[in-house]
Amino acid sequence: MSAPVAETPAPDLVPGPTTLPAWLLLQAELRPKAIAMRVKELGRWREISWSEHASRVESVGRGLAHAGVGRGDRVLLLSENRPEWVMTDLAVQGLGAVTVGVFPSTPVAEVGPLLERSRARIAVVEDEEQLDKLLALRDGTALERIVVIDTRGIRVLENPASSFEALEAIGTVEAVELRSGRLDEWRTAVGSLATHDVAMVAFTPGTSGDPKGALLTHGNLAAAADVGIVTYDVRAGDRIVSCLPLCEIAERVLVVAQATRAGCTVHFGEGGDALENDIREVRPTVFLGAPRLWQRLQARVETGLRSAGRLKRAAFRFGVGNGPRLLRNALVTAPVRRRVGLTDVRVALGGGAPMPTALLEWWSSLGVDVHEIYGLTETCGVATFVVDATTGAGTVGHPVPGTEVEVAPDGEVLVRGASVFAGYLDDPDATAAALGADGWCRTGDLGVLGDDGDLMIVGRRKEVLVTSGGHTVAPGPIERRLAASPFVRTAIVVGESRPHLGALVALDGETVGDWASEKGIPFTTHSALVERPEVVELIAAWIDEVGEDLASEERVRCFALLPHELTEDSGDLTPTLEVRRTATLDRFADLVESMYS
Amino acid sequence: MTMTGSRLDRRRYEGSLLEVKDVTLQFGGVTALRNVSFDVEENELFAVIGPNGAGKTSIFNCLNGVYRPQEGSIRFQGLELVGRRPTAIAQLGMARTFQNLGLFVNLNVIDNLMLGRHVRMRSGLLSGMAWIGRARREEIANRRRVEEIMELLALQPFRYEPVGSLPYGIQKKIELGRALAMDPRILLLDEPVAGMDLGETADMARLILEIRHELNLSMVLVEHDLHMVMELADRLLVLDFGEPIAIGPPAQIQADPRVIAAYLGQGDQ
Repeated sequence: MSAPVAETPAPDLVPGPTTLPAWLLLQAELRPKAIAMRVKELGRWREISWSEHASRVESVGRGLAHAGVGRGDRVLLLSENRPEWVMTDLAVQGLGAVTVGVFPSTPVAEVGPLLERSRARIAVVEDEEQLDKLLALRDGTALERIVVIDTRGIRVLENPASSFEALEAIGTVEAVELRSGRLDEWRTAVGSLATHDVAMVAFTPGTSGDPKGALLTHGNLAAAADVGIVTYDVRAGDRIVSCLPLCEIAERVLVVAQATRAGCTVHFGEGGDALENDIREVRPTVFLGAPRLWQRLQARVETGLRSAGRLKRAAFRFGVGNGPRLLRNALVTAPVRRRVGLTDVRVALGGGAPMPTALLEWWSSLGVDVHEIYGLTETCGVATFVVDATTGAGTVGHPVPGTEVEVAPDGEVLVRGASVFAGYLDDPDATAAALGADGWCRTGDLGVLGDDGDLMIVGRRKEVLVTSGGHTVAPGPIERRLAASPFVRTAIVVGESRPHLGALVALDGETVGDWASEKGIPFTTHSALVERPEVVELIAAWIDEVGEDLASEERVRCFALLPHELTEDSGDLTPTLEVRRTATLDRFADLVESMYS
Repeated sequence: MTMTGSRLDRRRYEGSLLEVKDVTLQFGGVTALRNVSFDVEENELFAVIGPNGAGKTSIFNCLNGVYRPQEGSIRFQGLELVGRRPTAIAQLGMARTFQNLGLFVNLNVIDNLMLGRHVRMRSGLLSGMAWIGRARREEIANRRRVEEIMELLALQPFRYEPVGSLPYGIQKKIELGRALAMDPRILLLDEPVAGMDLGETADMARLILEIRHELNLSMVLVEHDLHMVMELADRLLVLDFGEPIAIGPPAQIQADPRVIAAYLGQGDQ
């Protein structure tokens, strides 16, 4: 291929273990008393040291082995983020078995196919809610045993369910000695892991069809872990708050791979609405957020400002981007960073989805430079990284060490390197389509490589539209521009074989509701709001405004407001809160049709 | 969740948990309740419904000692409640929430819930001031229980917020939390979803079922939202102008012609 290539040579690191379970054993020797994890229980942070972490993982591993888990077996993991998630993951990997993580928010109907495809005999679930899902789906599958982490509210725990506590107890040193079992089996198992062995099945979010299970090897995880050390300098003792679901590859790589590799302290707070409090209490030094989380923290600052005094507001307006840096820092940006708990952040990362440029600039003006990471599940979450956040906005940066990036003649971004996956679970056709014999992984993204080697992502290949006038348009960037309004939650741009582009717009019920109340526009429900001519006008004006910056064929010329917000429950959003395009467009086919008639 | 339970937990009583017999309550010439009888079993969710002014809240006020009925008896685990003071009744293990919130708006969530623990505190003023021995141990145990309740009701995000600044739906939950903080055997819920929208109502209904399941409580529910009552309750009592007109499981109540006439409206069903 004669297309442009950007490449960063492999890192030059001191040789160490090549798998995460081996790194865990090493951390327990190097820093046994240092804190590996903190978990907030009943309002207090409980600490788990590296030696406790390693010995519990060992117990879980032995417990799983006792239950019959061996090399290549798959273990389904269905839980919110918590220490036991990480322990189970590392224990399964240590046995040479394969972790299959499923988003805990996945509705029961969608867990079914994942359970079947995984052929897991053992599942580890968080609580009664998740247990019920599997009990309902169990018939006819290979599932034999369900281990429940939190057994509260379960009256009788009976076959096939048992508790995580019991699983761990079976694996303790005392229990093994009582059985006259061998204690060195765990270390032997960890020592015999090979880098090309599959360590986990990570399901892709499935924005365009069913989720595919990407097979990631120990080598992939080790490579992704090294990226954290080399590229953004994650260090021992760094404080991390686990904010995104662990089934999201970016979070998994940071919290399981990089933290274990570097020896960071991972915090599992109360999450949900209490996430902001968690962040403020921990004051993380390394912080990974998807755009939606950065936006949420931004909204918190702005809401705070609205209720602040006039002087503070004026100071904020002046202070952001103006005045001598030191003064600005002391009076404005430092207090604001303190408010959200980002005073100590040394490495701020944006991943999971493209970061809007305006958002990057907003945080940068507060002294938080968010570095964007680009990667797919298929590249173990890492491919390129923006080293200099102040100049990199709009691009996703350079390839991470050990990785090559190329743009094929048709515009598709190709990635090659140690983090590229081993194929899809039971899907040779999809594997052949995504993985070339020469090791290049077709990402499905369209991009452009700049002269300086910076990659710019244009959109998803499958989403590209060709209008009846023959114009080729990538809807992604237009959709992101449309969604930059506080009134717009999501926009889906359509126009395949149509004379011009149109958009389905989902309103942000809260902000539009506030706006309507302020203007004295009466409404009762979201669908009533959508029908108000004032609201339609508000959105029309915004779409026109966005259109002014776009080429004529990229302008959205008609639109329809969706009668309700898109949710995961309605099947319109993936667990990572991205739009399931195909499914959503099917559901609203009539609305699209009416828009063009 | 571990339950510390009320002092009466270990007491064995063969009859129903709560037995209300022929209660009549009058204010001057007005009869608020006439010959009301019902009983509530262990872990039962019993609902009282009726039009406005039917006497639903009056029943609660009799149960927890705010009003003293002129006739009849109210027995809780076999103990006669009529004539006892509200504090004494609360200490026996009966907690209630109010239709119109009765929270301390300037205190934060923890403090409001800790106030619910007050009936369970035993240490005296001096040890409290010196912060030694029992007072200290008690405070820690109570604080822990409050955390457990906050976790059950998902109130942790608001721990340190003054209650008055929180949305109405959250305040309703805090009130429920304060009642639970008393570790009651029986919980009286006075219109828990009044003023809530559909989503909040569904949330609260789910929460009530969860609490009952997890804490193994009996509940008496007074509610306007018929739909919710029919979904949740094991049995219902229908009142009309202070008089009981029907008692039984939801299906039976919905089919009862007197109920339809008095409350549901003729021809609606």
